[in-house]
Amino acid sequence: MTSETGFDADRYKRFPTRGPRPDGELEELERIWCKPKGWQWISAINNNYVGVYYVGAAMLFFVLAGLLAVLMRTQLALPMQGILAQETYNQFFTVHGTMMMFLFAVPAVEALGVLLLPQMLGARDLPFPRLSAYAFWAYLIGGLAFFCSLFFGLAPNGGWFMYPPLTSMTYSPGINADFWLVGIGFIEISAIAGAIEIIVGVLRNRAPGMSLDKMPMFAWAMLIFAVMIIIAFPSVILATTLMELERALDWPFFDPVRGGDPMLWQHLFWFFGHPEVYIIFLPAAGATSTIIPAIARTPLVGYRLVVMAMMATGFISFGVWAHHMFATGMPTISTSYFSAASMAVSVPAGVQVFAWIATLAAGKMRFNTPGLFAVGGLVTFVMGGLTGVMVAMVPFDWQAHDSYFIVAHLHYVLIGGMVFPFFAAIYYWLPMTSSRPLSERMGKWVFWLMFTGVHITFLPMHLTGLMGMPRRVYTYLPDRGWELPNLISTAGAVLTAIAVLLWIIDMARNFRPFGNREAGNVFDGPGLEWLPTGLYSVRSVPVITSLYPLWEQKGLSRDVEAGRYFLPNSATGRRETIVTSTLNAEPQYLQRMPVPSPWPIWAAVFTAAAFLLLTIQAYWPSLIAGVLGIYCVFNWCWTLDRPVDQLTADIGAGIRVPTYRAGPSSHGWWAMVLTLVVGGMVLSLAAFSYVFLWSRNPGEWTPPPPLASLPWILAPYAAAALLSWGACRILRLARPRSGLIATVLLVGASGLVGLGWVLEWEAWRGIGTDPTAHAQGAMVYAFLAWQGFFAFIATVMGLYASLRWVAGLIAPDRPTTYDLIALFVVYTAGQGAFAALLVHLFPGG
Amino acid sequence: MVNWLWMTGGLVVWATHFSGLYALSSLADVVTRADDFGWRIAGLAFSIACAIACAALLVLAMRRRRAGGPSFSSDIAALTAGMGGIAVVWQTLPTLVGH
Amino acid sequence: MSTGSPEGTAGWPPPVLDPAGPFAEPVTTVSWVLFAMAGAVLTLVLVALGVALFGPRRWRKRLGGARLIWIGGLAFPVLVLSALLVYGLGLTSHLADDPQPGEMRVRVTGEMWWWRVAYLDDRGREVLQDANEVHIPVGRPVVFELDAADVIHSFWVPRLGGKKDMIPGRRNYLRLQADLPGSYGGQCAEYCGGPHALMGLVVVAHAPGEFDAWRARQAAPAPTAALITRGSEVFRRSGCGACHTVRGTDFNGLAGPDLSHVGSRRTLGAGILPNNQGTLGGWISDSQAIKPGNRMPAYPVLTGEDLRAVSAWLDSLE
Repeated sequence: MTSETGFDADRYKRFPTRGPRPDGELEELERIWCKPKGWQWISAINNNYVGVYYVGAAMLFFVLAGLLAVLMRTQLALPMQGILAQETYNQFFTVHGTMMMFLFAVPAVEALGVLLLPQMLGARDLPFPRLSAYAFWAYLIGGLAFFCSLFFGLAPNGGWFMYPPLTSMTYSPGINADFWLVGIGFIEISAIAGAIEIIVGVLRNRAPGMSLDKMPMFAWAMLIFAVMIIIAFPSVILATTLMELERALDWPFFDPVRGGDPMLWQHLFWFFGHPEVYIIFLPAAGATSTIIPAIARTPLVGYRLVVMAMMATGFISFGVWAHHMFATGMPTISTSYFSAASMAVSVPAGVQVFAWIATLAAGKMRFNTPGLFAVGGLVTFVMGGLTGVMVAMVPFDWQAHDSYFIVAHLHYVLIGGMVFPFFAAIYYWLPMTSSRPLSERMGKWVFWLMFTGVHITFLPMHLTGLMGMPRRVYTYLPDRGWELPNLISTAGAVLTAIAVLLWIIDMARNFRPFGNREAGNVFDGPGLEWLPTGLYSVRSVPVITSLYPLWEQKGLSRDVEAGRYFLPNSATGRRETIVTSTLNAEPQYLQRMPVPSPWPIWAAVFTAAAFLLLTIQAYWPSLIAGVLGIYCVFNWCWTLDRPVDQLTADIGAGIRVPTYRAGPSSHGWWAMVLTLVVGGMVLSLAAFSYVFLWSRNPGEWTPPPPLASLPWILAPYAAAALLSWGACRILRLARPRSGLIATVLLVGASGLVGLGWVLEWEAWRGIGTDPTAHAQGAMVYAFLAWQGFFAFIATVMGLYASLRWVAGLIAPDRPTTYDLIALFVVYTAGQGAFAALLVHLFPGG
Repeated sequence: MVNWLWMTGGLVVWATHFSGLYALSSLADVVTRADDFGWRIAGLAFSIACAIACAALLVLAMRRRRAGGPSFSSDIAALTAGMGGIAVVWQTLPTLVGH
Repeated sequence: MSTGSPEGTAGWPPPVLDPAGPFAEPVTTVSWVLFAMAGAVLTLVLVALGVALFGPRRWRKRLGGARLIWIGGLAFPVLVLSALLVYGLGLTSHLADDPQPGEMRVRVTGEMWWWRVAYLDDRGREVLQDANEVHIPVGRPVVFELDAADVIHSFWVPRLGGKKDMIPGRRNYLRLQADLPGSYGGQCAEYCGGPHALMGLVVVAHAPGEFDAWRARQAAPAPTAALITRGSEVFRRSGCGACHTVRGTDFNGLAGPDLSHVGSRRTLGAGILPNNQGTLGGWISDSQAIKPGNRMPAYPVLTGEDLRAVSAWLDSLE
């Protein structure tokens, strides 16, 4: 294999090293990566802690949403019951769906990634641990607040996909819908933060030698999952922002009377919503692709086919969104394109299923609890996938859409494709974090009760749908034959609930995390996560030569624990991990990691508070919380990009790497670029929305401001981009005044984007544009709002830059802070220019 | 970066194909009818081009594999080219069937 | 012979598998084909799984390689799905809903939580208003123009065909045809808040001669409409005319269902109650208890006698 970075792979031959390790080396590692004491568990950032919290929170929301489901099924057991009042039921089913999709499914698999990936990849932690902590706490607080809205009768009641006009101010005047819109806001932040971290972690923080073809399948799954989040979540961010603007400020995006269109919501929501379900499925499939080989004690058959299948699922799932809209009256040829793509997306899923079957045939399966859940999930998922192919056929969907047939389909694929694999994952990996594994005896009861319960609940629903029962109904009339299947479904739900209860009891009896010992590799799995670890993850980072290191690299555990590989110590006396190259995982530099800090936690609290106060329309308190949140973020970032004691460090066997990296291959740069991709996706989708709304009513759109105003608006943006670039170049010149000049240029650039924004706003105000009058004005102002948000952040960043310079923290050999700010400002300038060009030139005068 | 584009090539062609067909039928819907003959033929032509692109990627990837180059990337590139090709062919059918 | 309530919402056989016209039959056929396909594939997968887990060593060796993935995961699905896709695309086009000239047209507007019905003449003008029940002749395609007055609803009569959404700001078309006379039940299939669960409808198909007779009867006001009875006085006194229309009188409100021939409807409350004097009285006195959230207020202030009188009058409007 040719080298990617010029690293000489022969140097790997130095490992495992001989001879004893120096005294105190291990103790120093333990001290640096010490356990949180007392209240410090709240500010813990180590993935061993945050990962457990995260999975725990996700399972809490699973149980809560499941309880709602049991109550719903109780109401539906018999016709015309009054166990749940109509409004209560409508809130329950909305919250059930919303919680399961947003507060359980995505966070759970993200949590699994946080918990497992560093160990699985041989890294000491995720690349941005404080970001994971922030994401977790924001998610927990937001999620709990969202659930509690039920107790005040303020829970949303528009269904988990919240179609307007039902959810507009006219038909949903209360703040219920706002709880949904804002509650989802949290999850969006949380999910995107996690996604950024996972992409950087999987691509840049692997053990040396772990080239792409030796990367664990779960890591592939998480990588693709995270990229999908970056591309898909912006759609729901845009949709929820537009809807909130419509509700709060009466800007008519979805109001057909004023040039809007309810279909815009559907397009935006499902462009997110369909990839969302594959976002949920892929990590679980990755887990199944890990667990089945481990339990059957044989390598996965068709590794490359499965990698292709996951990539194909990732791409093609973005082309099927309108199969949720087959009954909306779209042109036939359009629905046919989506039908074809929906057929195509089922092929890679089948590839994975047969890879699992082939692996089972090649190995010797053990029917322990993880094995049962993995196989049970396979069967259930295949059934759900088959009904999926059925509804991909448009004429059949015209009957099945919005009926209980769909409820059956979606639960089969989600439970078979995610829930069962997730339980398999819990049983399989729990011994890694707990001093006791879960009980196999009880586990088998949990599995069989859950499997039976799920099928009894959802199998009859296929029939119920064909009998004409629509979904989202709080009751139904007697004498249609719907009673018997509904009663059976309710019985199944009770059985499922008992299974979950048994699992909770088992967890209470056996789950003992954060102790000094773990139960260990109870199932004899092959992955790196089964190496003996401490809070510092592995004692030394091994050189990887196989996809199944613990099976094929003899003596690996012993050598790793004895410190005979990379980084058996702390090279700089701080927390650190190795950054490696993307394709071949060649060591590139040593990444300094932060210590636990309360600032991300407080930032999460204030972010949550700002959103929640906004929902209940307490505007000034919300503003104060926002400012405090920014203050916390400043403090959080203040410890970044600090001077290094040593320019290079010995990471093992005399191999030295730099301790600082600037420029496009640094992890910070990658994080910023990924964030900007999110921004760019929102911008592109806003442009789509703009053109879409125009296409619905071309005759109603009015001319833009005179063309002469455009250059005046573009000029500040161009200047801002130039100044930002200039700032970075000048800083690197390392002249005496470089720091000052660079700072001034950067602050100036951030000011200029603000100026561009003001000029654009003035131009439209000048011709009397009223965003409440018509969708065109609303869209122009929506672009302004989005751009204004970015211009505001740019200004805040300018302030931060000034503070850094004043504190003497700016140096030519550490340009990363200014590089990242410059990237953001250049993007903002580009975004502003693009939006201005679009709304001024299309459709034109 | 180039390596990733190579590995996902067939799927990138698929995405281009899908976006192109969606744009064509949406434009057609504004100008005349979504399934207007002329626009459909344009879609068909575009589809053929995309199918050829997938086939080309597949051939290229198979050649690289035989030449003994970096096997993993070429394997993945071949597989995604094939999968993308299947999806492109299926997506082309609506321009032909049922009119 | 189907079981179920008289208003036509059958229990068994399931309406989707019991088509009554040419827009439903091909869908039923494709449903059976799909079920057969799914059943066959599931069986194959389960057999393969069973052999993989429990089969003899020779068989397991055969399955334990990438070839199984190529055949089972790629070749076989591509073949089956290609065939299904071509079948499906052809059928979708065949069921296209573009109105043909000369076809009968009915405009149904989804309201929260009932259906406003208007029969159109051949120039597209509304000539007859009704609510919650649509009458069509057998053996001819009928074009339903689907509008929405407030939020998104969906028009679904499973025995006659698939569903189509009613979306504010656009007009959708749905062609349905009944080949047998009878009542066909339907229900709103897009969550529209509140009592969405209780937004049903009935489509009644008549033999051609009967349909013309029905149309003639409907066009004229009910004979008892103009009679000044105690019931019509209660109706007037309670202000019902502000929301409801009764042709032949000066009651001409448009907010609620047209009541000109309410006595001849098979159901009340949008497909949820049988229609008789008792249910009429119950609905008027407290429709909120029956269908919470619906737009008609309760009338607790009416005495028993008043209720009986107004129900009798309404019942007489056939």
